[in-house]
Amino acid sequence: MRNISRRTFLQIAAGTAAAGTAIPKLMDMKAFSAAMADAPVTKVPTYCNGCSTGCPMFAYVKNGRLWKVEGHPVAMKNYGTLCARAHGVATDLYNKDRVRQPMKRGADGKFQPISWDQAFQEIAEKLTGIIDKHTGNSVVWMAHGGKESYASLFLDEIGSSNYITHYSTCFTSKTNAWDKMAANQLTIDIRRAKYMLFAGRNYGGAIIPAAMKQLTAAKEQGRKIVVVDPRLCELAKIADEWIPIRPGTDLALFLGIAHTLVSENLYNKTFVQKYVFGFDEFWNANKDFTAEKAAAICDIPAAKIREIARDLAKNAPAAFLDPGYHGLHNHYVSSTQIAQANVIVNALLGNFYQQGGLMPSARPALGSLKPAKRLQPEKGPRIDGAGVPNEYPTVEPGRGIAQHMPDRIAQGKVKAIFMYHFNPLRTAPDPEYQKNIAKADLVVTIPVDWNESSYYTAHYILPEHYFLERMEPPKPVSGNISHDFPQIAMRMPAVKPLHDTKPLLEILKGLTKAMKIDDLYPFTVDDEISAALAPLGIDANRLKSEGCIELPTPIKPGFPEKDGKPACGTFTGKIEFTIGAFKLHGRPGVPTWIPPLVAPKGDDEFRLIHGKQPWHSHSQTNNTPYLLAMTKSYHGTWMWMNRQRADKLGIRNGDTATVESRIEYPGQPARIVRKNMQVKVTEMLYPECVWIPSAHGCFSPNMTYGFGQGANYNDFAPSRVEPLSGGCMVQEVIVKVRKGAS
Amino acid sequence: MSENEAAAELFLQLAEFWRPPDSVFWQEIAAGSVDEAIANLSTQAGYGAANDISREICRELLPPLSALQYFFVRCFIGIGKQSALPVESVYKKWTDDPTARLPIAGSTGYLMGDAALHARYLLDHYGFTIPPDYQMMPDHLSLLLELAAFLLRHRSDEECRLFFSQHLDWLGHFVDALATMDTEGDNDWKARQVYLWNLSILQHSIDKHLQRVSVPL
Repeated sequence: MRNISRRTFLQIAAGTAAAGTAIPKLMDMKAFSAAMADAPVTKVPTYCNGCSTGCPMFAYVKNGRLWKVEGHPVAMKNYGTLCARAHGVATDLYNKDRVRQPMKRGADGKFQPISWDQAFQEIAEKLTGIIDKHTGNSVVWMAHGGKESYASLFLDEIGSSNYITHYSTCFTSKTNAWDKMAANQLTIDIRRAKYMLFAGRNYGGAIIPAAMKQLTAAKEQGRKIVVVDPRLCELAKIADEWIPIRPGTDLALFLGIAHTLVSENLYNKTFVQKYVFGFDEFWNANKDFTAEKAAAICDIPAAKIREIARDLAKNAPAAFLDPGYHGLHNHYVSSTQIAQANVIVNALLGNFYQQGGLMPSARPALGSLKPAKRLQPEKGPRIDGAGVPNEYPTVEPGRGIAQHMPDRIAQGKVKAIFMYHFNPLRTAPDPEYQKNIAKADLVVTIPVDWNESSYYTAHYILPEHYFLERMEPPKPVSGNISHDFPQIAMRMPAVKPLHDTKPLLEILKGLTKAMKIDDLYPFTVDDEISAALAPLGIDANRLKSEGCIELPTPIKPGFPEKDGKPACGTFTGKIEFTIGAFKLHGRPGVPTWIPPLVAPKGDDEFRLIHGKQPWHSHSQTNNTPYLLAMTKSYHGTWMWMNRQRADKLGIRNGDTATVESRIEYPGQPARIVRKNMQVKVTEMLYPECVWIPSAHGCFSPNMTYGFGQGANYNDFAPSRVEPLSGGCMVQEVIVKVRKGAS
Repeated sequence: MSENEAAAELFLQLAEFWRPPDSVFWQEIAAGSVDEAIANLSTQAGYGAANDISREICRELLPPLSALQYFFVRCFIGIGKQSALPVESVYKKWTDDPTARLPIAGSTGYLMGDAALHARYLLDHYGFTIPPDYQMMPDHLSLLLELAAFLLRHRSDEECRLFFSQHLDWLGHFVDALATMDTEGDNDWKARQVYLWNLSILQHSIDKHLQRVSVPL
């Protein structure tokens, strides 16, 4: 027999004698399992990564493995209860579809595992070449994972203005309008409200556990909940009243409510006089927009619109129109005006900074590290055009425009893209268009899983630790719903990293070191923790142990004033009904009715709308087996269609239908997109639209559980930019539906 | 060479397949050395040859090194929908701990299950250092086969029996996963057959060994 080579992986540890040891006491697997069951359990504080709510929670660890997760009882986001998504994403720690080591795409287009050192060296070399040739401003950092402070240090150092968030695919109109009109994103005080109107907001789908607890308590106490939605959404099921609306016409409803409040003298004149700027301009532009006019557009009877307005006024200031989120604030041509009208309705109620109405988030004043000043290159204008004259001057530069990167690459403006927990191929419109991101000279993704953007566009994939493996600095626990006291939470590592991954700080340290950038991150996470807690006088070890801490000083109601004058943070210090920046660029400062871009016409045409399912966070969770099991149980990939419309098309519940849209870009031939979807036939949907859940349509072959399940709203929409706020208007899409598969 | 010594050598040789293929090993297969060694060791170990296992199939089916490497990365490192990880935990219930509250507790398909913890326990007990890349996959087939070789060479029949029956009992599911995968062309198919060939020898050897060391009823 010839000698053959052998590579032995197991090595005897120094000082041990493997062959001479006794028989292991727990050699038998059954005995071992029994002994393991008696092992101690440790409790590690962290916060969930299942959605942007970031619920503080405890990870229980046994035998070095996750044993269960549980909500943090102190946390104002969940009061100790987690939603299904939290339990699901926790298990993804052990999902075999995680990216387990750095990857490089070879010349043949296929990925190969590489070492971190090789990845850093090669990316550094390519990036340095790009910066030398095209300046640092050709580099873009797109993120849906936060940690902007780390990215900003890097972008500042190389001279890039281009930090881009996911907002333009989610709710950018809301932040744009509220920041410009109220200088704040106020939150609803469910616990004290007597009347609550929700439009385009489904706390039962996009679950915030504490909000649902507060809302069910309100329901039991007889406080009124009204939900306006084209679909009988999960929140509508517990509401006192569900009012279906023609999708895309919420602006008309809001203007009709505002008109009723003013014309019937129901609005809070004292508040308006003292704290509102631009009332006359708004009223002059809308004094003819009566409830009847609104009714004809939104298909809600004028009497009902008046009833809503009167009930709001009767209960004000302990009443609100929920400021909304993803549902209305990105997806229509009128989304910016919808957000403006929302501010106006609430201000007419005088509920700003009022308990039971809208209150600011109670946020702790965290400290931060003060990095030494460095000699940095001058930056150019933002590459996405956000805040740039003659491009999108009124879009918030701090949020950016994510969906049109392929255009910017084609124009030669973008050469290198980093995507940190951001997956525009699935979460931005038109995946075929988004695939052109691959044409950038350098694409680096920093994910935990094999998302579509990594699979189809990345040259390098640098996997980050899973959230249960990471320690991260304190963050405020706030937003969406009001809570009287500030809270902070932090993330401790619950388990050792399973794979050859790194936290973002270490990734950036490695990359910048390879780029020969000297000591850009001269700190540790512990340094950040100390700096954050210094102003609060909280010991780091206490927070590391308790996980979520509530601070004793409550937030107080009352409009902010300085020297007896309104000082809410806007230019006038008042709530501004008219946006000067819009007028400066030739657009009306106040909202007026804007019709939808498209309208369904034939029997086979529908407006396509979408929404969250209670057990999924858009596409983030669509490869989580535990959550996909729920999808299967509830037919969660099916498209909803109104029964009368389905009957006309001969479609029965469970039938497969072909859903088709036409995608067209200037100067290019139209492209027809066709998907087969099973149909849920229901009375609980406004007839002119079809509704699909936002989670599905995974098309990364490496996401083995979710691949090929369902379709996604982004499949059917072209990539567009709403000019005022940068939204992507994906509900301005008409689809044709016919029975049978294509 | 004793039967157990030969069996240990056989398992080590079979373990070699479950590490990233390199040119040295590929050349040895191509030269027929691996086929020959496995056949001889199997005979010396007293396992004989399974009737349906062609002696030279490995060499005959061997695709180019690049195809073998591509198949390995795609299927066994898991870069591809068509993958089958050679990791015990993936094919077994995640935990038997009745107190576990994770929703995956009773599910298959996850890493770091009870099998991994037990494998790590055994490796620690016998004084082995787990390589860094396998710290969280101590139940990877390549490590299990090395441990099997160690047990055959140095430990009692009872330890071997327990280990073989409790840690190498999932290969049927692994074979099913591998056999039902789509392949990407002729070379990809050949690469898969090489690994299926390895597994068929492994299963045959394990069965034979368990017959030998099992206590008669």
